[in-house]
This record gives sequence, structure tokens and C-alpha cells, in this order.
Amino acid sequence: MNKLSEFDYYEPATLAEAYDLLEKFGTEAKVLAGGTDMLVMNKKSAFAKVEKSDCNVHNRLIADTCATTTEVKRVYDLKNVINLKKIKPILNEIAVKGDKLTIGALATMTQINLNESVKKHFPALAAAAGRMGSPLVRNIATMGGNVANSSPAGETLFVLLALEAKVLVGGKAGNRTIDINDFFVHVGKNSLKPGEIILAFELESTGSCNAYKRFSPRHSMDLVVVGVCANLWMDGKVCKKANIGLGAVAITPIHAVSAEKYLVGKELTDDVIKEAAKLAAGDAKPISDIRASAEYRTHLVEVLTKRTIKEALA
Amino acid sequence: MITNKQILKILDEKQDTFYKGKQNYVGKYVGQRVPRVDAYEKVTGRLKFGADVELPNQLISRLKRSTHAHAKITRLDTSKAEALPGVVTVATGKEFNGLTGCYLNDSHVYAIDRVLWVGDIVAAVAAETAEIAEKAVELIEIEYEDMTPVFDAIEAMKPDAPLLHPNLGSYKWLKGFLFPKPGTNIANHFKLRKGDVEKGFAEADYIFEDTLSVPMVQHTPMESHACVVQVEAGNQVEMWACTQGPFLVRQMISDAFNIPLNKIRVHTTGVGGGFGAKLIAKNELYAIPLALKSHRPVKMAFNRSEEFLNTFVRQGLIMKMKTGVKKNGKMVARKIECIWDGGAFCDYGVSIARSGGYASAGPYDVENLWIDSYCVYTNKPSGGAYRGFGVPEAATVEEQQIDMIAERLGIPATEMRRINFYHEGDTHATGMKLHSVGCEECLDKVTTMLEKTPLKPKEGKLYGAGQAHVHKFTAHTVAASAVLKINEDNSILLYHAVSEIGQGSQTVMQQIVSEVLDVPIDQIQSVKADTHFTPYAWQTAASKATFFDGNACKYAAENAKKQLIELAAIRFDVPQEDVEFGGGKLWPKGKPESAQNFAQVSMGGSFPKAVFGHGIFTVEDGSGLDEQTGQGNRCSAFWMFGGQGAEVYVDTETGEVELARMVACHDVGTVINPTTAEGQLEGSVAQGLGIAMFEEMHFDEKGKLLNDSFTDYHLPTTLDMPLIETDFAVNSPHKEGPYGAKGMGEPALGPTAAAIANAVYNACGVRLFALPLTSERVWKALKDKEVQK
Repeated sequence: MNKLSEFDYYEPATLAEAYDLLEKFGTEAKVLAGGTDMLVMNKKSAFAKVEKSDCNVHNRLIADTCATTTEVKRVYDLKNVINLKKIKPILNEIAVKGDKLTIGALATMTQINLNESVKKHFPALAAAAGRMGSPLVRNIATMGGNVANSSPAGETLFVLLALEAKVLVGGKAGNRTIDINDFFVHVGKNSLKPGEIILAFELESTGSCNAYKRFSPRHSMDLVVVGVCANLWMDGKVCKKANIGLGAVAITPIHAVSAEKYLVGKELTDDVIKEAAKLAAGDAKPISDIRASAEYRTHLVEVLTKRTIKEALA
Repeated sequence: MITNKQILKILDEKQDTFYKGKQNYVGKYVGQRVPRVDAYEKVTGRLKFGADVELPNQLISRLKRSTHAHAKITRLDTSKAEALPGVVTVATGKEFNGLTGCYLNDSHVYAIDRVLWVGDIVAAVAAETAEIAEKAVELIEIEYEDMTPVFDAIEAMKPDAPLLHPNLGSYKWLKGFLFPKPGTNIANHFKLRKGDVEKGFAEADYIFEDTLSVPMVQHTPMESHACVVQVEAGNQVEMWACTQGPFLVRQMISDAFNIPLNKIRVHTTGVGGGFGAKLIAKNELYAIPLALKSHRPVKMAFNRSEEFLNTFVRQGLIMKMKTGVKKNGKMVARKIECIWDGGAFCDYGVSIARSGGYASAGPYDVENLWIDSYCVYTNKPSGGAYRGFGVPEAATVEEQQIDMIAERLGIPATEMRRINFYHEGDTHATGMKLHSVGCEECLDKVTTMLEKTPLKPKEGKLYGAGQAHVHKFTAHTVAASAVLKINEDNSILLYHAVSEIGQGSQTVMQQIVSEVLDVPIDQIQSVKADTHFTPYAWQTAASKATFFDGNACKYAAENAKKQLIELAAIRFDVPQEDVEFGGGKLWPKGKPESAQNFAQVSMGGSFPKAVFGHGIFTVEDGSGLDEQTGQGNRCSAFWMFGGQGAEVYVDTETGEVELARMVACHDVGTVINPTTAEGQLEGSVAQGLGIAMFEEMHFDEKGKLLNDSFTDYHLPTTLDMPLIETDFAVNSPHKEGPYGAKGMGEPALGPTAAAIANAVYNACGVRLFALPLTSERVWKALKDKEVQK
């Protein structure tokens, strides 16, 4: 790992200022929400050679090298870093209004993990936020950053999918709400437009029960190898509606669609749960890498789906 | 929750019962729970490690590493890097083409005309800042012509395999100790022949044959390698390095750059863990050309990727083991083949093939033995010493096989071991007469700890317990020396070359000296090794420091005591036998009121004499081993024994193994400091757990290491740690050890992985002869077992 790139650093005091900076720097702007992904990615990034044709001030002193300068840049470079943490009003509030829970984009994992409302209505999210990385990481990593980074293994992403979160985003052109199902596009890619940032997440508590489980070799400081979140709406023993979010088994977090369909209208007996778990495994499209084989990931989806549904019902 | 008070009480009770009625020596300082003398500077963050050393005007260096596993360098152009403002110098293998190494000089500093692994160093840059050096490295242009690489050690042994070292025959090596096979990739072939192995198999009632494979793993010391070097007028090299082997580093620099030893001075800084990775010169070598060329101090501090690719790794091992056994459990023959995946340089690995080979049959008296152990070059990072020196790897198959045999014969595995264990006076596989053999006591204690308080079953999980036992060699004919000075104010300076790498040796050496001189520990100050001033010692390796250097320190203290008595006799005008010695003072018999301290005796009065104790130690009957039979008089100064018991829960649905408790008992002779000794055992459990369950270096098909960072190279965290209970054998102190002590750093790691593997089998019936025991491997094996039903 190398040293952090040299970059210009901005602390906008208002959203309007932030939007101005984002517009000004365009693709050369990077937004700092927590930094636990961005800064590490920069330090880990390989260098790439860029041939430079123009003469800059420095090279004018050595005229003959002027035309053939090769510049070395990081592949994941930082030019202009815009820190959102100083914006007023602060973007990390967790607020409850009726059935609606709004979690500011800059709420840290620790904040979410400890919040009573989150714990009560969305224990799956509280658990995921409390499991990510290490205590040190959780104290600065934000859910906005986690979602914007859009890694398929992102700790809270498959949970938010199952919890039917709405993503409130803002930009110069105004605010809009993106359904979480429409948010993730590919590994590291999402539907935020240039100049837009995530402002908050909206969750509605509608009497569902939910749980989260993930597999990784270690008990802490580890990435998700497979993650499952079950969110169930029950009418007595019968399932009215089911959401099963899966993490790290496709290019984005996904729903286990056939498992969800299968569960609706059924009494959740052990056999039904077992069958749903099998279907969820079929919905997963994992890859093989050094963390696990596709076969094992698929199997883990089955085991964790079964366990997660049972925990949600418990 | 246990309160601190309760913990202290438990510790006190433990201390009381520790040596009750036992034979290990317990004195005023030796055998006592003395706080570590280096604790304060470590916990307050004041200890200066390698990277903390800063010299005025120093440059920062970075390495240009190969992206090809085996290739000719057809073009190397450093001009763009040199032209970058802030770059001071660039060095390459064309300019510095000397070879060096520990036992076998097969290592280049930078690739000369060929690269041998992905990560091999092609050039080094020194610049004003790290940023500039990093950029300059990218501006170095290299073109390669690919050659066929070989990554698999078995493939590399085949006659038509591509040769990594075609000039092997012309290299310098320790003759009579190693047996390289020029014209092949075999850097060493160790042979052991004892009895008639085929006759043994013919007499056996059962024969077992198993094959194990263990991957390369890395030491991952918390502190990565770092050094600062400057070259003064007349090519005088002065270096500060976080090393375990300052004298070996000096030797390797001398060989590589043809500089006499008296012009190289290596200072040892604080060392943040070594485990073998910091024994020999690595970054220390790569920094020197830059300092020679720039005439400025150069710092070379490794990042984690460099730690994985450019220092040492633990060699991979493929081991075949065939055992013949009688119905009663007595082993009659063992035939073993060890193939060590040595990587690009085998300069240290050759020695592991040798010792790891002769210890591979375990702590058992087997009449007929046939062992072949090969160290083989492959296009991968270089293998070398890693805590245990082959013993933990070999034990992983050897100790599982013992359990399998016992199960087949229907006898407890503990009995199977007991029937075969070595005893005091037995002849070892290598022909050496054994003394200080505590394996049976360790077995008893481990068994008792496991059986006394077995863990409770957990719902939905299978529980199992298992044991493993090892013996571990040390060095034989190596030198250790120490010097002790009494200062004018009665304080004492102790000079020895053991690096304090976390093992607690500094404390142990001071305890030994305190015991001899009867002075408080804090009256003594240890001096960090400095090759210009500290007397010679081989390395901080092979669990030999307490025995070898401990003896040297003891002799130095006894020598100083002798001088003090002689001086006191003159001062008090009494015969020497009438000088009383105690509490750090001397007095004439019957006149305690005239007592004088050491400084008064030596420096006081009208004829000051500076007292200067010295001690040297080696094993005089140590010997090499015969090339054809592997037999010799004393290949190891002593043998350490020990066993561990693991208790695991297995989740059969996911294959997850939870190590719930680990109990350990080791025979290390007299325990000089129970607290630091327990620390060694606890640390070894953490390390062994990582090796058993997580750690593996993954390479792609082109030889590129895929997990050269902690993102995907997993080490256990505190949350993964089991309950740990430790104990020590007390009935087998060593007659030549200082106060009966042997060593303990390495055997502590020996049985850990094997014990876990046996526990996993006992829990769920899955036998894995490959490490690590990942959840996925266990799950797959469970699934296969299900299919077979």
C-alpha cells in the first residue's frame, strides 16, 4: 500500500456549496462520507503511466524534455475531495416520523447499530451495521458511503434491498427518490447522476419481521462472502409477503425472487422454509474466487436463507 | 465475568502449585514471574522499531518488481526514472551481481539477467520522498522474454523441468551439511536410513499410507521489515535494522558486496515480531547499493505486499508417510518422503529440508526408518525459516496418522503415543542419545486438562477433542557469547546478541544473570545487539537463545563473580574461600558489616579494576549427519517435547469449525519465566489457529500472488481466539541448560494445527490432509462422506 495521493480538499458548509463544487470538478471530484473505502482504494491503487504532450511550468525549465514527459498517476486517483461532514444541517440524523424512519446518509454504522428505532423495527439493519469491519471502521464508515460504493458485498446493501429502502438523492437540479431496487447497476456502479449525492435513506415500518446473516471466515474484520437478509410480513403463521436480499452472489445485491414468490401465502413450516432456501440458492449467481467457490457460495445461500428466515420468525 | 482480582488470584495459585515437589529449578529469580523488562517501553510506545530510525538527509527507497514468474530481461531502461526530479539514484542487478545466502549462496540482490518469481526485484530507486520513489518505479521500463515457469515442487523435480539455477553446482554452500543436486532443481536432498525399513513393513500387522499438502504461508510479523543504511568513507557500511540475525545479515552483506566483516556494522533496533522472517538479510541487501551509489543514508521499509513477496515465506510441503505397525500399536517402520516447495531461493530452506526431514517421524522410537527430504526450487517467493522449522507441517500428517492407526487398532490414541514415545536414554532416529525427554508427562497433563473440564455440547453442532504431540530439535554446533560489565555506580551492562523479538529473551537473560549474581533484575541493562560491540552469536533462531545464549550469559556472570571474589580477597586481605557473596555484595567471612557492593570491590580504593565478565558456550560433541544415513553423534543440542489438545465445534451445514479451547503442555526444561513462557504458548495458539484454519498464499496460473494483503490473507482476531490453558513438564530439566532450561519458541507451534485436525475428525468424521481447514474444505469433505454412504 502506498501513500495517499496529493489532492485538494474542500469542506462545503451547505448543500448548495457542495453541489457547486461537484459541478465545477465533474469527474475529478470525489465525495468523502466516511473514507473507509475511498481512502484505502486510493492507497492500494496501482500507478499508470500517462504520456503528457503539453509543457507545464515545471518542465519549461528543461526545454528538451518538454514534449516527452510521462506522468505517473494512480488508477484510482484523488484530485478534489469534497468532505460532506461539515454540511449544516448535519446529514447524519436518524429520525422517526410515524411509521417512517429516515437515516441520514452520513449516519455511521455505529450510530445505526445503536439506534433504538432501528433495533426495534429493523433488527436486520442494526445487526449488519454492527458487524461490518471493526469497531474503528464502524465509527467512521457511513451507510451513504457504503451504498454509494455499490460493492455487491456491501454489508448493508442486501439488507436495504430486503427492507425496501428508498434512497433520497440531491443535486443542483433538485432532489429525487430512487427505489433501492433501481439503485444498483453493476459492480461499483449505481444510478446516481453526475453531481448527485445521497442525502438519506427512508424505511417504512409496516409490521414485518426481519433478520440478517452473513458468512465470512473470521468473526470480525472480514468481507461478506455470502449475505442474506429476510424480511417477512406474516399473518399468523402464513406469510403475506417476503423479501429475501442476497449479498455477494451476483454483480449487484439481488432479491431471491423465486424464493420470495414461493413463500407468499404459505404457512412457514420447516419444509416450506427448506424449499424456499433451495429456491434462493437457485436465484444466486455467484462467482468463484479465492474467498469461496461458486458452489460453496450457492450452498451457503441455502443454509443462510433457512437460518435467516427462522431467525426472523423467532 | 472474571475480575482482575480473581485473575491475579488464579495466577498466584498457579504460581504456588507450579513447581510443587518437582525437579525443575526454582530460584530467587529463575522460575519466577518476573515482569518483562521491555514491557514499559513497548506499552508506552517508546521503543524504536526499524522504521522509526531517521538519519539526517536520508533517502526513501522503493523496489521495481517483476510481473513475470520466469523470464529473461531483454531490456531494462531506468533513464526516465533517473530523470524524474527528486530521484537520486537507481540501482540494478547488472551493477551489483554478487550472490549471497545463509547456507547456500543462491540469492541475487536484484535480478541479474533473469527474474525468478512474480515479485523478484529488478531495480531499486532512492528518492527524496516516498511519493517520488513510487512514481519513479513506474517509469522504469522493462521488457521480458518469457521462459517456462514451474510452480509445483513435484513438477520441478522431474528431469525435464525448467532449471531455476543452472549454475547450482558452482554456488558456495556449507559442505557436508547440504547435498544439492546440480543440474536439477533440488537444492538439498537429505537422507535418513535406520534399520531395515522393508523388513519392518514385512513384520507389520498393518500398513498405513497418507499424503499431506501444506501451502505456503507468511510470517506476517506486525512490524514489517525496515532498515536504514549509510555508507561512510572507505565503504564502511553502518546499518540499523529490525533483525533477528545481525551477524547473519552482516555475513550476507559481506558475501553479496565483497566487503570485509569489520567494515559492516549492524545495529539491531526494536523488533516487532520475527518468527524467522527476519533472520537473514532481505531489505538490508536491497538498500545497500542505493546507499553505495548515493552516498546518502537510505531507508528501506517494506509494505505488506513486499513482506509477502520479498522476505521469506514458510515453504509449502507435500509429504508421503507410510507406517507399519504391530497389532499392539508399536510402530515398526516408517518411510517418509518430504518435498518442500522452496521457492526461488532455497538458501535457508535447504536446512529445513534437513532438520524438518529428520524430525518428521515424530517423537517416537521407531526401529526402522527411511526418510528422503528434498528442498526444491520453484518460481515462487523464497521459502525460509518459520517458527517450527518443518515440525508443525510434518506433524500435521504424522500426528493425524497416529490417531488413524489407533482408531483402526481400537486403542486410545493416547495409548498409541505412549507405547511409541521416546524415553530418557533412547537413541533418536538420527543416532543421538536422548536426554531430557518429557513427552509422557506432557501427554498426561494435556489429557488431564481435556478430561477434567470438557466443554459442553452446543445445539446444532458437533463437538470433538483431539491431541497432537511433537518433538523439536534446535541447533548444534553454533556459538554464543556474552559480556557483562560492572559500572562505576554498580549498575550492570549485559551484552549478548539475542534479539528481543517479543519472546521475552531480554528478561530471561537478565533473570539468569540476577540468579548468578544475586542482584535485582533492574540493576541490569541489556544492550541491543551491535555487531561492532556485542560478542558473536549465531542467530535468534531454533529456540536456542535460552540454552545457548542463556548459558553464555550465565558463564559471563559467573566469570564476573569469580573476578569479584578474587578482588575482594585482596581488598579484605582474606583467602578467596573466606569471601562471602550474596545480595549483590561481598564480605569477609564473619564480618557482614564490612560488605561492599560490586563497584566498591572492583572500582573502589587505590587499585581500581574494571570487572568485565565474559562467557562463551557451544555444544562440544555436536556433529553433522552422514550424507548416506543421516546418522550422527548429536545433531541437536537438546530436544523439546510438547503436546496440545483442541476442542472444536463443527457446523455440519456450513463446515465452519470453531476452535473453542486449546490446552497445551510443553517440556521446555526449567521454565525461566512462567509468565513469558505462557505467553509464548498463547501466542503460538493464535498463530497455529491461523495456519490451521485461514492462512494460505493463493497464486494464479501465472504465479502471481493473489492475496498479498490482509484483505484476503486472514489472520485470527481476538474474537476468533479460543480459551487457552497451559502447563509445563517439570520432570525433565536438561543437565547442560542454564538451570536446566531448554527452549520453547518453536515447539509451541508444532502440534497446534494437527491437534485441531484430529479434533475436527473426532467431531465430524472428516479427515483432511491439507491445510488450512477452511469451512469450504470441511463442508466438501462432509458432502463427499455423505455421498459415499
